[in-house]
Amino acid sequence: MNNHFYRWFGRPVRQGAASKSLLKTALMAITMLVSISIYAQDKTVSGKVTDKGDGSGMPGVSVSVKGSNRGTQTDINGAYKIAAGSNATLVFSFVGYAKQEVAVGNRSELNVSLASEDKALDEVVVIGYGTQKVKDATGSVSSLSSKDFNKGVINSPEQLLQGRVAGVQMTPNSGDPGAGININIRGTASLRGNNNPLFVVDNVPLDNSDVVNNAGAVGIGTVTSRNPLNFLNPADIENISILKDASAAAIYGARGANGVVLITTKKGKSGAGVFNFSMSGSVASAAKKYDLLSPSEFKAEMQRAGQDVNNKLIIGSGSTDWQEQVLRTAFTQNYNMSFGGGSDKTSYFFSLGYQDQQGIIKNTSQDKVQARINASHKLFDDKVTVGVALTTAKINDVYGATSGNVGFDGNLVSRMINLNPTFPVYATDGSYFTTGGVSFRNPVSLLNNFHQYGPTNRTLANIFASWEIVKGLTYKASLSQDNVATTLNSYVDVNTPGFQNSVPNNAGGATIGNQNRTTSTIEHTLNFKKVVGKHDIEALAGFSYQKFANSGSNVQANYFTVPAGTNLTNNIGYVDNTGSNKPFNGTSFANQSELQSYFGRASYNYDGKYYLTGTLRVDGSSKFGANNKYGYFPAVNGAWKISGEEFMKDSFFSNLKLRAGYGVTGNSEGFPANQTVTTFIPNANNAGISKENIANADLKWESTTSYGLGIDFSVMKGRLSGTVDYFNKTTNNLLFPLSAPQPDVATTRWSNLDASVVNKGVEVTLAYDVIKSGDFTWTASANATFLDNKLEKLNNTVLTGDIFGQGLSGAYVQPLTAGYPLYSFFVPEFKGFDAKGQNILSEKSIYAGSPFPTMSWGLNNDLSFGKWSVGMFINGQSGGYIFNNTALALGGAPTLNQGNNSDKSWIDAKESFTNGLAASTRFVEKSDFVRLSNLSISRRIAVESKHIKGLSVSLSGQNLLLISSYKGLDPEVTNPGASRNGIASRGIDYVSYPKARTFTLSLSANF
Amino acid sequence: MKKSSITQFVRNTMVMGVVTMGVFSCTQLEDVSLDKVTDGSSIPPAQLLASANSYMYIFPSNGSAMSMNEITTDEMQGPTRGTDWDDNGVWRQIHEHTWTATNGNVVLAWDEFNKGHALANEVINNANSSALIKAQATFARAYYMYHIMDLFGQVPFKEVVGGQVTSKVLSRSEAFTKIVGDLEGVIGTLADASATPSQSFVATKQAAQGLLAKLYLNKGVYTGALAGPYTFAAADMDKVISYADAITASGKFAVNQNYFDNFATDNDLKSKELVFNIPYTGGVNPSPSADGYGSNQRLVYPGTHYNQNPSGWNGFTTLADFYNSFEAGDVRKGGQVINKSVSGMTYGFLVGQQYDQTGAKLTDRQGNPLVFTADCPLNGANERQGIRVMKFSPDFANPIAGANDFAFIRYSDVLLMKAEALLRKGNAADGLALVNQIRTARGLKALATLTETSLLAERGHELYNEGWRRNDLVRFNKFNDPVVNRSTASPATRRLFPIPQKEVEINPQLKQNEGY
Repeated sequence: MNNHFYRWFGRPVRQGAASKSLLKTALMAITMLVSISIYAQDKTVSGKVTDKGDGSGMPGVSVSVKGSNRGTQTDINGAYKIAAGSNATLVFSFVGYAKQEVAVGNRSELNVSLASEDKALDEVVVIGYGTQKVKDATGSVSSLSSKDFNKGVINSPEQLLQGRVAGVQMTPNSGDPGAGININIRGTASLRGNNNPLFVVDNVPLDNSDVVNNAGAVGIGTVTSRNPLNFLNPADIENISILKDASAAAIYGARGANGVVLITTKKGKSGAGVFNFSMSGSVASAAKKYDLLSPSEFKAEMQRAGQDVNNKLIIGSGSTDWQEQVLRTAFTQNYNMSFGGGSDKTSYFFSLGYQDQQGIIKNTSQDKVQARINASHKLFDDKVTVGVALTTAKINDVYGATSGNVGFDGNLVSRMINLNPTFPVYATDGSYFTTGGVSFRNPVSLLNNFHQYGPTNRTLANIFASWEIVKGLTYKASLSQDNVATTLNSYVDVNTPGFQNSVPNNAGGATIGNQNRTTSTIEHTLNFKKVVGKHDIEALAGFSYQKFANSGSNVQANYFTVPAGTNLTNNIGYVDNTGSNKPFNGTSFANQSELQSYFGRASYNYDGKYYLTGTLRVDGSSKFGANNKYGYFPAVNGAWKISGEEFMKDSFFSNLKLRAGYGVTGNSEGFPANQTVTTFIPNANNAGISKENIANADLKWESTTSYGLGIDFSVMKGRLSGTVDYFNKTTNNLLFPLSAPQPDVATTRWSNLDASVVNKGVEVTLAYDVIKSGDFTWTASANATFLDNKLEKLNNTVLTGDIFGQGLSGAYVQPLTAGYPLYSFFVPEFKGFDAKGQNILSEKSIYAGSPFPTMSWGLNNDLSFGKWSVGMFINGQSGGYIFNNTALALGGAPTLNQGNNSDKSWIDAKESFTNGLAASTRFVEKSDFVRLSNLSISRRIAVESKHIKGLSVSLSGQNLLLISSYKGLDPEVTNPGASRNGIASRGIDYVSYPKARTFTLSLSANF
Repeated sequence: MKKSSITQFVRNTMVMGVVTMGVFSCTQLEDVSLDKVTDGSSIPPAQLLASANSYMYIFPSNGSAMSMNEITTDEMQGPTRGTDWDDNGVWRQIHEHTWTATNGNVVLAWDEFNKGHALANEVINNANSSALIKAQATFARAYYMYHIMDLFGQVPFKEVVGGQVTSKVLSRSEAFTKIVGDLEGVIGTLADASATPSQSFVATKQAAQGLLAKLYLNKGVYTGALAGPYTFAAADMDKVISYADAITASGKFAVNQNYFDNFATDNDLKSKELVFNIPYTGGVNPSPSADGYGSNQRLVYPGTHYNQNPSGWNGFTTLADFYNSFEAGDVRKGGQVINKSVSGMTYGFLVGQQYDQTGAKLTDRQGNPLVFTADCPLNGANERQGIRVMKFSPDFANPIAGANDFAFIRYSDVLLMKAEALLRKGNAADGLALVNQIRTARGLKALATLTETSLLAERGHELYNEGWRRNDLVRFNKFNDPVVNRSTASPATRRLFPIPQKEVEINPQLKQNEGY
């Protein structure tokens, strides 16, 4: 792929390669150090660096004087100026291009053209505890660098990849700024909530647990967990590698079953410091709104329902577009600056980012400040390298009343849909309009009287040192700490209409929840590399220890005595403590667990043709009992580079490689500590203490056994390249809170469920240089995933998939069923309405589809013409289903009969106004869609200034067009609040925060 | 940053790091609990007992066991009204006798009573427990086992001998013997009912006598064939009579002249009938579980309309036939306004036009006058259909957690049980006197004769919405008869509920009940 777009950002885009070449440059520089006396004879050498392929100027090429620490980078047009002596040698380097060294001689102008290396193959991918060239990869690893990332408003690193990697499905919970994302690599295997992969930032594995004290607000449900990765600034990310199969992920053993995402951040480059600055402003609005009845249409429906339209509580005196009252055009601003540079011994990089994002629901927002510092330095004849990295962020979230598990009285989203459009916002006396019903919630009063907000501070610090003991043998030690501290404040103001049922005396309710998570990690590794003739050997041995500590507290208060309008969480002591009032409630928790691991990997290749890698990781966790504390996770994989064989010398294929792998990985995420000890808990309501858990020493690791086959190829001299992978994963011993045989002190007990989940499928990735001539290039790439998920064995009844709404208590739609995909919908078949307009439903529930698409795909086009470049990304999915819980709970005649509004597409004239709300196939819809996710146009601007090296502007749009038959707003959504029996549901849409369409104008400069 | 200072810093931290690593490495990976007690021997047994007793509060609720005992009968239904009360059909299933082994109410009753049983075991098997505490825990376990036996017919039991746990399943008659034996074994240790009301549950001698009377009265059911006919041995009836007499002899109980005082927010002070009493304190939800089951709000809210005060859930109703079976002048039908200053709500059955505290007519949400009518379909009902039941008066000061105590066994029930025992022994005359004692207190004429039919009717009128109707109908062989909105008789196997599906799967000793 062509690097034009990002080249003039002045950042070589593949860190691994860059740092290697830097290292080499630096090493050579040292060994060939020449006298500094040459400085005396310095002159200015200038010139232009061009791409040998198309002749275009190459910005961002590193130009250095060999043997000195003097360096610069080419400007936006590829031009450079540097001071050098006549006997100096200039080194030109750029990632993905062959490095060139040119002696200056007596020239003052020196033009160079760099030839592209076979880019796809020399790319370096980061694998666990090391890097590897793509051509040597034996496992299934996908790697994306900054040029491939999604553009626009990006809250967290994984959004950079959404839709772009085969086999990786990402479903955002909602359109809420900073909302969590479900990431499933090669399918969903675990029954617990967390199917997300392990995230590793610059070699530090993170604890990716939720970081919000979700004790619940007052009468409005619990907030949607924020994405734990919000603390990483997407602008700091150089590269993301995804280890998809067990053979690659096994080095992370017990934490690798859901795949591993390795994030590499930007580092300083050797040479003069480069200062980057970028800013952007975005405008967002709801991509789609509900098509609700207008006041006159609503009146007609009320007449049809036989209601008294002269009654002011049925047809009011107002005309209100409640969506307009709740939604807004939202603005986001983002600023990033970074400064990085270094010498042959030292590199440093600082960055600071600020983003202030408004949500498209009023009074919701996320702003954050993120800072990052990293530095490394070489000592003792470069035998020892030491380094530090520090990332710190403060995120302020302002949540609206938008939780996904709110009851029938409603939140902002449900009320903007179902509130009577003939009601005014305010009564004649200026107070919020209410019908007087105890649970009548006016969305404007919810916006102003319900508050939920809080900061999250997260700091990830890492120090490391490596020592090359003898040539080829390197020891590395790394110590890191990850601290998260978060507070969630929520309160309902005194006398807020609609809270009489949940707030005693309607005298206000407030909760403050605090949580701290600390993860300490220590790792020691020993790396060995040796090349003997055609034998290339690499070995790794390591030890890792992690300690996860988690604690928090929560205070809840009622019976406030302060006037309305007071911030109750700031004044939590101002309550009426007299009589039988019990204004305060408090809870706290603290837990910890430890993970201790030993691992090793040995790789061998002969002549770059035959590859074999074996991996073993032994993980021990304090969470497991004495009988199964340690889990053993082996993997083996091999590859044959067919194109390296003599008989393929003149073949059509410039690269052809066959890969195969087998491995076992484990999973204990989302499984709580203290299941191996007997515990007792207090009950505040009766001053009692009850036994809560009986020690179970037999619990063992959930494990996934997988195998896969892959082919990498490139033809037409590398113009068309691609990868095809088949995978098959079987997950056994699922850790699950299974029913305990009664009588028992607990209803459920963590157990290894006797069930298997099988995920198998095919992934295809293709890249094609459609046009590459002169100034015009067009690159297209595509990925597709075909996935088959199935629960193959299950001996227990597990009912899950809670749905919400009035008259739907205890209703579920996803009983786990062997022989079908996980989370399949089983609901009665809807056969129309009977003569009275009541549902005709089949007696038995039938299989109505799975929430997992059987196929998902992405198509990317990058065009570049001179100074202009255009990127367009389209993605889609098919074969999956979604349960429209919003339409069930808030749609149709029965809700109209309650005096509530409805989306027009949910109204069926044949339905009776007293029809019951029942889950059925009527509400299971196809989740197929095609989306124009990203379109960006950018232009480089030539600046004749010695101060500015590069300048560009770009305009990008996100979520521009959605083609889908779904009767909700967006089929790519899931309700994280809908969990039951410890299982988070999938594919259930209920009053989700609407998704935005966003336009971003950005400016970037480097100096 | 200066090179040398970076070097210095990194060197120092390296040294620190290596030292720290030495400290941390190769741990034993112990599973340490930081926020929970792990040493059970340090916990006072009284606190373990308080927890074990807390599952008593599961019963006075609309769902779970209460719905299984009331909505299954001729007394109550849970109709679906448009957007309200579909709930996956669980309420309709219960009324129509078509419930399944995954019905949420059935599963909840099984889980919660068994959990109470297990917690009581923890007290009984605790070496630190005093004889009194063990006796109280044994009472609690007997109560929980009673429900499982009564509803499900099989009682899983974990026997602890010398620290060794043996799991077994007691058949219905084995469970009967075990429960009765346990209660009779501890009755001498339990204290007499106190004259001053307690704020927390205390197992008393009289509560045990009441439960034993109930057990012996139903012994024919628990030890006979499921489909009946049941035989009631004279010796068992004598037991019922002697336990009832013992309760009377305690001198602490009498039939209240004001019927609704038994269910008022201050019934702990006003009622003399609370024999087996589950006490509530206003503002405190004693629910042991997070789902709200256990709050007596659930005896008030299911029926009342949104526009009434308290604003309820617009659900459950009594059935027309049952309402019509009351005689004119029966004070148990209610009708008086409870608290004129805050609400127009009346005691007993809510029939006809409803009013607010000012006397203004209430409307439903569609604007129609809120007139409760007797007829109400089970599906597709509107907001006005069905007569609502307001037996436990709302606690306007604590609407979510009222102060009304709940008597699992009330003194009137004790007298009616004795009357039934006498009748079954052939002594209808003495039984009639007891029934007429109650009828007089309820503003009714004395009956001339006592038959099984008139006794069952009297029990229905006296004890409606107190959780006894299914038990009574089964004993009188009427449980499967057609009722309003269930037009055909159900099979006799419906006299027991199914063992929850998830339980059959994990406990091979349990065999699913016949008919499921």
